[in-house]
Amino acid sequence: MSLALVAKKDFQDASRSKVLWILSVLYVLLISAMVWAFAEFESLLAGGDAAAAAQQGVSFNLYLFMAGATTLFISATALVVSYKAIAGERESGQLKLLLGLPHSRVDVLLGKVIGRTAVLAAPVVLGFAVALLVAFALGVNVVVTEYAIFALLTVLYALVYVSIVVGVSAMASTTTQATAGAISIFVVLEVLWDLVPTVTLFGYYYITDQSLPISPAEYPEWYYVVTRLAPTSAYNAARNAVLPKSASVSIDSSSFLLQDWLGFVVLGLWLVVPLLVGYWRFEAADL
Amino acid sequence: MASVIELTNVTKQFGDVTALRGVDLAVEAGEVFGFLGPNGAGKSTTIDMLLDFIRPTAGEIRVLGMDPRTESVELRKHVGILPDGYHIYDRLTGRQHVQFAIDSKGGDDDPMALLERVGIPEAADRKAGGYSKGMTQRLVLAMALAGEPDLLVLDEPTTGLDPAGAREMRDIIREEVARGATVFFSSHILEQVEAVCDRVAILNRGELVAVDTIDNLRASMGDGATLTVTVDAEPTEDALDAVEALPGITSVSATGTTVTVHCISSAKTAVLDAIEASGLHVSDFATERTSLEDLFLKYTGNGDEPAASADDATEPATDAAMEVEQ
Repeated sequence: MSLALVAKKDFQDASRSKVLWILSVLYVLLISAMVWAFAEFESLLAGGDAAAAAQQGVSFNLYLFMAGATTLFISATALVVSYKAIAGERESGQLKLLLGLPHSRVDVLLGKVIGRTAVLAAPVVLGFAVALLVAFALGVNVVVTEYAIFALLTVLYALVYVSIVVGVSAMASTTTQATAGAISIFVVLEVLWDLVPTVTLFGYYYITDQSLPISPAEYPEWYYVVTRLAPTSAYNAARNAVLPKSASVSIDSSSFLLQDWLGFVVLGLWLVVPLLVGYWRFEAADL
Repeated sequence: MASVIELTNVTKQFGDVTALRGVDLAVEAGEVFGFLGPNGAGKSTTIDMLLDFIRPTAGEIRVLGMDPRTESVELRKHVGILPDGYHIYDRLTGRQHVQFAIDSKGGDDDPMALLERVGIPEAADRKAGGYSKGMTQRLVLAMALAGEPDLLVLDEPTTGLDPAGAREMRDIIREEVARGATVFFSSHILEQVEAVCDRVAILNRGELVAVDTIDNLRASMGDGATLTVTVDAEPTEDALDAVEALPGITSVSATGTTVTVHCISSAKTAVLDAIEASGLHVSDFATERTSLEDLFLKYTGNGDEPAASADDATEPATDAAMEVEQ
């Protein structure tokens, strides 16, 4: 009740700004463009490559094709939409109005996550809906249920990113801190999380004077386990768990730690842990 | 019935700074309680703790019999707050703000009725970001009134209001008390508190220096008065000395044919007699009770001894710590 009120007010507030419209236009154009580009590539790949890939159990599909762009845009827009969610209201004094009314700090935190996710999810869903019509018009072979699952999974990814950013925003006492936090999140999760294991791996081969494996599929298991702990990789693993399997690199997935469904577990952790830490700090804070 | 607000030995520190030190305070049901002190005295800190915006470093707080820390949400269902340093949601309308407050308290008030009460019905459907300071203050008051709270906590409620607005604010406070609410009202403007409060507390540098009714505080000033006497000729030194020698006289001064005497009220007749006895004829005289302004200045350490501060008694103080609304 209280939670729903806070979420609704938050969404109402954002929907009066230009953000919702800008994001709607952005996602309609982006996802439609991806579908169109896929249609073009698919016709190029119609020859032997696709068949060869299919033989290895890996298919180049629409969802793999779209995932790269959706994760980049959603992580970036989630940051922009949510980084001030708590810290901004705390700094301005809006929180005093909100918490002067009978809402708990948990309600405020979760209400913000839901409200901001809605601000991001509505344009994403709209984008997927419009792009589906584009796919039909271009004659792309789309299984609607799979497409819908991918859209839902993408909304889940948006929710996870928003909750990470809102969690950090709840830890910050000023918008300056919140901004620094948001930038750090992006750099750590989207850049360093892949870069550090890669550099470590290459460094290891260099120091031990070994030659790099010819195929990335032969990299050691820990490399993939670590990189899959990032939310974006977890989203890709989860995608492979529920949609026709596709991957840019075919790795041995017989190991337990590389099971695709673990992607959902990792997403679940990213959904909950930052919020818990954020709440722990926010609950103790003097406004 | 237990006190509506009860602070027991409450201390609040922000790092090394002690904002509030060992404050004991009890506000009873149905009273209008004025919380007075210069800016920075710790008034907002106290109010923020009543609402669980901040937590005391030590001591105990009970509001409506509840602990603001552990029963925060339940407590806030019964409290209306006009906080200090708030910010409204610029993109939402006045009506949406009030509706949100009503929904949050689970009430069924009519948002327009509340907006009419605070005098801004015509702005109901405009975005609140475009409101003036005074309108914003009225809007937040309307939000505080939602759900007929048992306790209204108003932090500097007349900020941004013109004199007419401040009067309307006082009328609303009286209406709320008549309905059965208790009002806790902070201000650095003495006149606001004097006009509407049953009792006042004076806070200075984080410490409570006085808690009493306005009348009792006035009495504690020694019932001081300023007597201005106009005589027919310039008084001699001897004449002034004779007046000063009377009991209950604090100071005597003369400018031309005007004699100004600070004294206790009961000494007035003796003063006039003494002047007449010195051979002067009294053509006119006026008395003025010592202002609460002096009282406030005395307690907050911004003035001379109260009865001696002739200028402060008759003119608005201009100390940085004090503002008197004209």
